[in-house]
Amino acid sequence: MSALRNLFFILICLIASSNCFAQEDTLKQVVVTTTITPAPSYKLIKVPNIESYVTDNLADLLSKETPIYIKSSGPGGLSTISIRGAGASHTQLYWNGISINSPTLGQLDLATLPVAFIDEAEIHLGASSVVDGSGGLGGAIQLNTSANYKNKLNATFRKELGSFGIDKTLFSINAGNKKFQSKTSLFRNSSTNDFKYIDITQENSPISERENAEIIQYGIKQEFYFAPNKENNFAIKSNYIDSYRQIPSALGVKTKEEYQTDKALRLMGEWRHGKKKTFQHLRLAFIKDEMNYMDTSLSINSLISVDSYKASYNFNHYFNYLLKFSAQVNAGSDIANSTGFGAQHQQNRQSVFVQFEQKSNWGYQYNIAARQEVIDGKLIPLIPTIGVKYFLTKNHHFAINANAARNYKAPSLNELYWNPGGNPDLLPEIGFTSEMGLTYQYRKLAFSISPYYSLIDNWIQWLPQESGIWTPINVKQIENKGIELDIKKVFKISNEVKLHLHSGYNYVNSINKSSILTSDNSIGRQLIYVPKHTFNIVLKLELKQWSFAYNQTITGKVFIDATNTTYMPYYAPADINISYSLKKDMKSADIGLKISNLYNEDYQIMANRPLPGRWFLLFLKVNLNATNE
Amino acid sequence: MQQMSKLNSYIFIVLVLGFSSCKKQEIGPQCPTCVDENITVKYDDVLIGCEGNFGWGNASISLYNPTNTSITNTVFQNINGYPLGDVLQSMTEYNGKLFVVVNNSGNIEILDTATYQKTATISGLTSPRYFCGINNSKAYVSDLFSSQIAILDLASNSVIGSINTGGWTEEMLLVNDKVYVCRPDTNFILQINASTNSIEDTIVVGKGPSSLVLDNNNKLWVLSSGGINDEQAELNQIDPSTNSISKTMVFSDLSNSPNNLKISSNGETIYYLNNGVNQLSIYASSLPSSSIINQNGALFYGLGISPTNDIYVSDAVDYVQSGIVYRYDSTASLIHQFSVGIIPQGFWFK
Repeated sequence: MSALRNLFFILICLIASSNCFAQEDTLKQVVVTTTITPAPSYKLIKVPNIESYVTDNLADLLSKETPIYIKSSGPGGLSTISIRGAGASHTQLYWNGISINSPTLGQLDLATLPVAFIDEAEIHLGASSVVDGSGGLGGAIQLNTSANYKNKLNATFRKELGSFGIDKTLFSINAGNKKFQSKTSLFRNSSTNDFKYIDITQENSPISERENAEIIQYGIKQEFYFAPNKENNFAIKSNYIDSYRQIPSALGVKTKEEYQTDKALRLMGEWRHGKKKTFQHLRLAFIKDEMNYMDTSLSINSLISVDSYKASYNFNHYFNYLLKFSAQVNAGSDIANSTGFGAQHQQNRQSVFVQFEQKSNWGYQYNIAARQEVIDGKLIPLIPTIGVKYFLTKNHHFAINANAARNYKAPSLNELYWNPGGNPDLLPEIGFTSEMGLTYQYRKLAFSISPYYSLIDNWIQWLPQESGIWTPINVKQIENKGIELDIKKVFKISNEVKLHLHSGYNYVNSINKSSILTSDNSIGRQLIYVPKHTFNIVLKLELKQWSFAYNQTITGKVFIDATNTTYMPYYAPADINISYSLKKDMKSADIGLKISNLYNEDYQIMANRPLPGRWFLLFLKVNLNATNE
Repeated sequence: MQQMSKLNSYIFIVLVLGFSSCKKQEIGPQCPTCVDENITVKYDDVLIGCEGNFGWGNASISLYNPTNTSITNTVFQNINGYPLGDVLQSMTEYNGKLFVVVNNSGNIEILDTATYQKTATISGLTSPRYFCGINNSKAYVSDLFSSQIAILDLASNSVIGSINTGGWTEEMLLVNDKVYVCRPDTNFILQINASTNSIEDTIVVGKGPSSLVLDNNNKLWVLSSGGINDEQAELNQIDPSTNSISKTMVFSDLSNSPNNLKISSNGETIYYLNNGVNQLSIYASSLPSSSIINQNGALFYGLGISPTNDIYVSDAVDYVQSGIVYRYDSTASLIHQFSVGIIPQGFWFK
């Protein structure tokens, strides 16, 4: 029993929750957070190296640091995600626990989410998204912010200049004491994106220059944290982005004057409370989203504006160190105005989630949970999930886990109310997902293998009707089978030389299993824009003041028609990042060079949307840092 | 142990650099099975216009030969060496040339009907829909967004003028130096004097006229869809000598949205799509009560009547896969079905 006692200690993560995760996944600790996070039997990826992408957007970060497929129309252009073969709207994004997918589109353009707004990105794959909310048939991404109460002053100025007019400026200042912290970031990014490319759609494939591709984005983040005592913690979090993007035409399309502005304001008030064995977390949020698409050449002006009010309450209680009960209550209202609706539409959602998590004191853990959601007063089928983890070895280095869930994704407001064509009778997409996993973790090496299987029924697709009007319909059943491999290792070559490696490989066989369409020739074939193979590797060498990073991604070919006759070829761009750091006392200066698309590959991710060849970026960072210790 | 780590890291670096040394040749969309270098042109060829997806640049033309039932996809690209463009809207033959209107590229590709080789490209159109030849040197192009009909000079293959139309214009037909033009967002068609390029008359028909044909008695037939469950669809017969309506047939079901009005080569039988393929004689006084070809759960998208009165009808299935073309004989029995490009919607018979 004494050994057991040694095993048991609780880390209170009220303050800097991110520090605790580094040591999770062993039975030796009970990780306590006020927020409900996936149980150990579920798979999540903490996206590494996030600080290197502070002037980039979420699409840049995920496409380089994970093997997850990001479908991007161009630098800074519309970028969507596909996790485990599911569609863009099957990945739910959360900002500090609050859903930020557009209620009208059902998805989020990852290029409109600056990394400067977040401190941590965590990908919850498959069934693990159920703790966050419904609809994550592929998964969910939690984007969190937090404060470090040891900080006294941390001020950073960062400037980047690069090819085709890239000009990025970031200023951030975090200041405070043991009770109060303020975090401020301001940035402006712009680029003309007038890069050269081979125009394969013209006679003799001439080299052309991209037109109408300029981007100007600026944003501000302001957060206040207040911890009056050990038990209570308050925060006010906010960010605002104003983004102007010209939309370059696909090759072969007449050049137009399309552009899009996205403005998003996110506000949140937060209270965390922890006492003895009970932890609570309340968040109230307001989100205002405005998207304006214009085509001045055709006088098209489309405006979508959504106000969202959301609340989330999390409750965790430890009966003892082996048994935990969690509950979550969410309520929210989205009020949407769109030129595509003709009228204002409001949607109200409430949901309740409960979970029991039990551990044995010798090596297994299981959890059982369920979520019940109500949308506009209508009960949605129950979302149950179950997970088990078992340590194979006494030292807890090897573990196997398994989990399963039934999930569903309610139709978006556009799918319900678009005029003409919206289909109020549309059924939710129903997902079933299950996963097995083998993990190894010991000191500086971690790897995992996770095969999974999932089904998505009532898959929604827009199709024209007899009247010629395009309408969303529940058309297909999609089957996704795949395997994910991840490895992470730190090589300590000498006291001053360290090599960090992480790498991932995903395989997904995503097929149309059945369809309501007569003579559907896509049955049994891979879905469009779902690569079977994706791979990434990041190598980072730290050598005294020098840092070298090499990033290689390989994305296998994707089919661009459902019968699998046409495809986009594989692409394998690499980046290299060299920087030199000078430190003196609390001051530091970093200067660096980044070469993107190192091997000057001519490629496209989406058909006829060219991407730049080799390009360069110089950056300078000046930092002043003082702690309260 | 440390030696091992060092070695490992070198191996990794070498591996990674190895990955990137193999350079590939393919850029952009690829279709190895579409490639055909030996296209032979036959007297009875059928070209199938495949719209492709908006903004994907995958418009294409499929070639079908009814005698040997051979199919070649992406013929335009195979012959001319570059892809057709974005959203094929229509194919119209005039003076031995085929005018292929590529809507979202704002282009018309002019093909030699003897070789399918491109002879010229007309560019600079806003959102072109249909081509209507007037004489050896002049043609009109209707447009979705510009509120104008573009006037083309066929000698220089360029736009030389325009006619203001007040909105969307669709199919056009030349009858005795007068051009009749559908205005789908209204309930009328326009009559333009082809010599003066001026609008001379408007003729009220059903709501949403989009296609029209001329029969062998020189009567004009106009099919109006009725809008989106707005009004009842109508088929109108017009006497071009007086511009008066000589026949009106109303579709009793408000949800009907008939389209694709076509006529047999002898000008005596009219066809259109409305929950299947429908057929009526130009002498009929009422609409047929049932379809001659049932669509059986599919949704027919395009219709074509061959010179031998074979009926070609297309199904775009889910609009992102190879479309299907069904070929029936004049008695509506299926002869052949085959896969073509994405969203097949129009037919041209050599």
